[in-house]
Amino acid sequence: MSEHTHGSHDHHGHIELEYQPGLPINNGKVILWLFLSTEIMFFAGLIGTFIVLRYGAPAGTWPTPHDVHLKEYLGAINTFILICSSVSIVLAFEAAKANKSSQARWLMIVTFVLGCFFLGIKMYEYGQKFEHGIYPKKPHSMIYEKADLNYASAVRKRLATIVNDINAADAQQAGLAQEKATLATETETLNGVVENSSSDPQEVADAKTRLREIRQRVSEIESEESALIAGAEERAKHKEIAEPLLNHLARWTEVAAATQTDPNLRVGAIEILAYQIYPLHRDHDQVHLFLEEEAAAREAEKRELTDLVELLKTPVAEKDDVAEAQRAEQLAAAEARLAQIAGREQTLAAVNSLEHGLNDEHHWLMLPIKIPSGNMWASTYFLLTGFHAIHVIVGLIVFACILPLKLDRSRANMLENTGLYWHFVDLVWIFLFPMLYLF
Amino acid sequence: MSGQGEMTVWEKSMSFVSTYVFSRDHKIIGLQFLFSTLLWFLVGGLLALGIRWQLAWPWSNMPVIGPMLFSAEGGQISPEFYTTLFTMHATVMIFFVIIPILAGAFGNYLIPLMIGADDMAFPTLNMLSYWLMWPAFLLIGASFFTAPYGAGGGWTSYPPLSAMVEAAPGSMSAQTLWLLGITFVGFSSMMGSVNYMTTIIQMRAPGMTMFRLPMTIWGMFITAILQAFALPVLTAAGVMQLTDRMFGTGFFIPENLVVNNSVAASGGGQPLLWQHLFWFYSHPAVYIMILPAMGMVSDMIACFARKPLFGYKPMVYSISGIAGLGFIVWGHHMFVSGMNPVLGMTFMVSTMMIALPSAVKTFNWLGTIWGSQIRFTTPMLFSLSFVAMFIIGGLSGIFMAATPVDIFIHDTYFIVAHFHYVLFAGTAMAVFGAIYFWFPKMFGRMMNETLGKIHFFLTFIFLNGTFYTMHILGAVGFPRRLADPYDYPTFAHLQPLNEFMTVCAILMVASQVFFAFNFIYSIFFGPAVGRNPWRCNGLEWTAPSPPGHGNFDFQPIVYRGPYEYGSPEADEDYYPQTEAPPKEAPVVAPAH
Amino acid sequence: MTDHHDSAHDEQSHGSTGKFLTVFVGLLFLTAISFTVGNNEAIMSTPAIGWTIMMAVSCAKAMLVMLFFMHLKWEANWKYVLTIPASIMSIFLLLMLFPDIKNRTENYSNTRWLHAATPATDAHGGHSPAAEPAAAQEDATGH
Repeated sequence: MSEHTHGSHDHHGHIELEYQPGLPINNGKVILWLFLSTEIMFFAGLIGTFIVLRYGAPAGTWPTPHDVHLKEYLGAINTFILICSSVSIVLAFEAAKANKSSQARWLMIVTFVLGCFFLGIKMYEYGQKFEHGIYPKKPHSMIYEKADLNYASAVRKRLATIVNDINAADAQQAGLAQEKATLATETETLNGVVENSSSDPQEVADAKTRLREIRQRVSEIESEESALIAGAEERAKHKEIAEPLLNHLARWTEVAAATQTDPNLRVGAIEILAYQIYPLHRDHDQVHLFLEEEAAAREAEKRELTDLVELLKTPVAEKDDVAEAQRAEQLAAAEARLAQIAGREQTLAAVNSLEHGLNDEHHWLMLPIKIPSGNMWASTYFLLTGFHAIHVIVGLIVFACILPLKLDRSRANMLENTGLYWHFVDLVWIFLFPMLYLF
Repeated sequence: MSGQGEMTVWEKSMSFVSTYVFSRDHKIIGLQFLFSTLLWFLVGGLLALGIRWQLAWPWSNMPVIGPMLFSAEGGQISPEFYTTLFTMHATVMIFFVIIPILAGAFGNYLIPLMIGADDMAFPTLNMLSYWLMWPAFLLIGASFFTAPYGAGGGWTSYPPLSAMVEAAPGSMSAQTLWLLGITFVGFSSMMGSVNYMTTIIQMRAPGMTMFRLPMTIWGMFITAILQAFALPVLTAAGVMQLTDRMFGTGFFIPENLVVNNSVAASGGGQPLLWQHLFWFYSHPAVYIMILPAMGMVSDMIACFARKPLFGYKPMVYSISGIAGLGFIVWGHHMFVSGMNPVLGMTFMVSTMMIALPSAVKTFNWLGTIWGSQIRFTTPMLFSLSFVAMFIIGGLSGIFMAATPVDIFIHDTYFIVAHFHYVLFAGTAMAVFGAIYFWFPKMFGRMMNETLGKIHFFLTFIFLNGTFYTMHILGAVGFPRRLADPYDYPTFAHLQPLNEFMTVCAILMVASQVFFAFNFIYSIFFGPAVGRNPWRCNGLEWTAPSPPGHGNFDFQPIVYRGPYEYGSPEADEDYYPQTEAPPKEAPVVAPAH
Repeated sequence: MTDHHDSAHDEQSHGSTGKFLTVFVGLLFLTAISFTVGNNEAIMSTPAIGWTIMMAVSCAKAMLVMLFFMHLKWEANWKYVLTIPASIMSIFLLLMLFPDIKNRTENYSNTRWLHAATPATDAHGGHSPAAEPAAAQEDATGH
């Protein structure tokens, strides 16, 4: 720190004391190994948490790498990078011991760059998770443990928000356009006043002030409007997608879940919704059964309704106003229901023809997703890789500090200790890789 | 001061800041720890009085300070504030008083002096470990004053309520600050412990073999090992609870937790996991809080009994045994937590086993004073009371170790009595003794013996009045952590007993005035002393009082064990560790 | 990395570049084994076998890194003093956490199953409360 020249081992302040060291290594190495012991315990705590949550999760629910868009090969590449960096840092230490300082520096630069690569890949992976909405979040995560009514209503709320936002933006745009039109008319009138030579000078002055105000307001409106106008097309497109989803996926599902008596239709509706949004491979067969069942039920209902409609449309002999009104009402209800079913069929067909889930096809939807045990997966994944990444960053900072030094024999101890730390970081990854990517 | 003579030219040229504030000298850092922790001791004691006030006279206005603190409630303690009070009392006493005063103050001051080193192995790291306590001080302080209420999770901070921001209105940012504070304490202790271990392993004076180390150093060494292995686990757990609160992870938040009319954000976590990780640290931590005290007491007892410590090696082995067993007993805090019953059985057995090494230590202390001519100095009085009180605290521990009994007395005042007997009547008394004992070394002056004895007797009487009564309450089932237990008619008749305890507690805190006055007065006006006022044989007593920079003005070479007292052959009835064997020239060849 | 003692680092050069490269190739080979096992459906159909193999491979890799890269192969006996306690303690901590894993979902109440993930019925080793959650979900969707 401030008194580098007065290290504890110089002769200025006091006599140099002799010691009887217990271990035949330098103090730096002793304290580093002790520090690594504390690190081992730290990661034991984290890994223990992972094991408890991973194996304590309800049986068979832990997400597979595919479920959470985890690419095994990226993990393998990162393993490869860390192993390479371990080799390069150990070779740097050997070079420093042999007093080849420039070679040691080059190898340290290689290590540094490899560490950066590791972090780069890690960032890319995190980005992918975030893109799919897989991350812990306050106050409510996007990940739902199961497809229940809670989940269905969350999806409906999200879709309703999207549609409402679009409508609000459209309304704002229309309002602005209208205000501009009114201001334009007013401008014309005022211009008339100004140009009219017979006007009262006071009136002219007022008109000019008002004109200035109007000009300012118009420019304000235009700047506000430009963004809205630019987004109008996209909004229209989004609305076209979101509105049927809201009506025929989300609302249909909620109604089905609340009214259907057949448990398969009740549960199935929500499972179908979850699958459309974020398809999990493991749900594929089940959901297709649900879909078939629902289709059968729909067909039956449709036939029933069509018959009813026909029956209602056949003219009746005796005229009775009350009965007539009732029949009209029934007819309208039946036709509305038929329209609903048609909409449902159309939307389902459209969504089923998509290659990916809704969230992947339209990233802006950001609908809640169902991943059983997904919250715990995200928590442990980000915790373990996050703390490992923090250790990598600390290592890189240390590298950056020692790179400018001359890495000759006198600094071999320092390089060795840095290397020990870096190897430890590698060791942790050796265990994290199979646990997070392959289990 | 008498140490002035040893000061050298460059030392005088150092600025005030680098000498006394950002000092890298282990003695200054030790004193910084000592002063800070004594101040926090006062804070913690006053918090305890707040708790006692509420228990003696629930919902009555606090005189004088009540209207200032809680004007909204008209000078009463609110239930939420009561929760904050006991949380803060425990946190302050454990993390800011007992652990730092033992490891930080005495560890720092004594380790290099007693092993014959000029400083710690890594002085800068040592300085950092003190200054990292300050963010912790500030964070916990901020947590206390957070509106509307401070952290109220108890020092154990059990989830799920502590892990959920929405759970308790007072826990919003307070609990988060609390967790951050604990994390800083963790970093500080971790730095300290690896440094102590390196120093003790690598920087002993020639001839100072491991089995010539004084018990104080053994206590510090084992403590450092415990801290190094246990603390990282608490840090990991604390960080997870922080992310639960701040980023919406769910490590400790189970499914179906309905808080404020909505289901918990993310489910699937396990509250029990926190208890495992927490107690994996916090049980060894109770040994962290007593092993150094045991070591210091051993040194004081041997010195004032003028006899060699009875069974030095068994003492060392039993201290290591306590530490080793201490790691495998944490489950006895969780007998009623829903933990797998198989584990409960295992932990019960291992807990019972701790009684063995503890008994070895107790009998060895008794063996040391057996048949000796005890010099009843203030430090000795405190040490003897430590031994006596430790027996009470230790025996009540065995009650709790047995699962069937624990199920009845869990979370009653019995456990409160137990850990106050061990921590206050045990460790804090040992710390008082150690302050009286090493004060001459630290400041080159003696503390007043008469005031010291008054301090001892008053503290001793009132602490038993306060804490012994808690056993009775506990046996009746009086619950801890309740703001108003008298709400249950079963406990209503216990209020007079609580009033008695509160009066004792107030008097106990008041008797510390004798100590405070004595301490401050003696720093400036106490009678100056030479190097070895107590005629002890440890290495620290061969250094000047107070030692200058670099500690020793000669090369210490150790020829003997630390407890060669009462030798009829010695000129002065004791052999300092540095005294060469009488006959031949130096025999000791430092073993490599 | 402050005041390191000027203890003469008399260590002779233990590992030659060739030796480190051999270890490097070994590590890559072991990583490839893990990767293959993890992606092999036949092995992972009984996951316990796959997990055991992968953990064994990881331990082997860790040993290689420690022995050669961290030079423990060539160090004196102090290596045991500084490495074994932490290893034992960490393994012990993990072991003591295991008993509660099994205990966990078995003790779930019906209301807790309402919000927990539904166990897979065809899960490996079959799970008894699988029937319960279906019933619980009935209630969940019904209310």
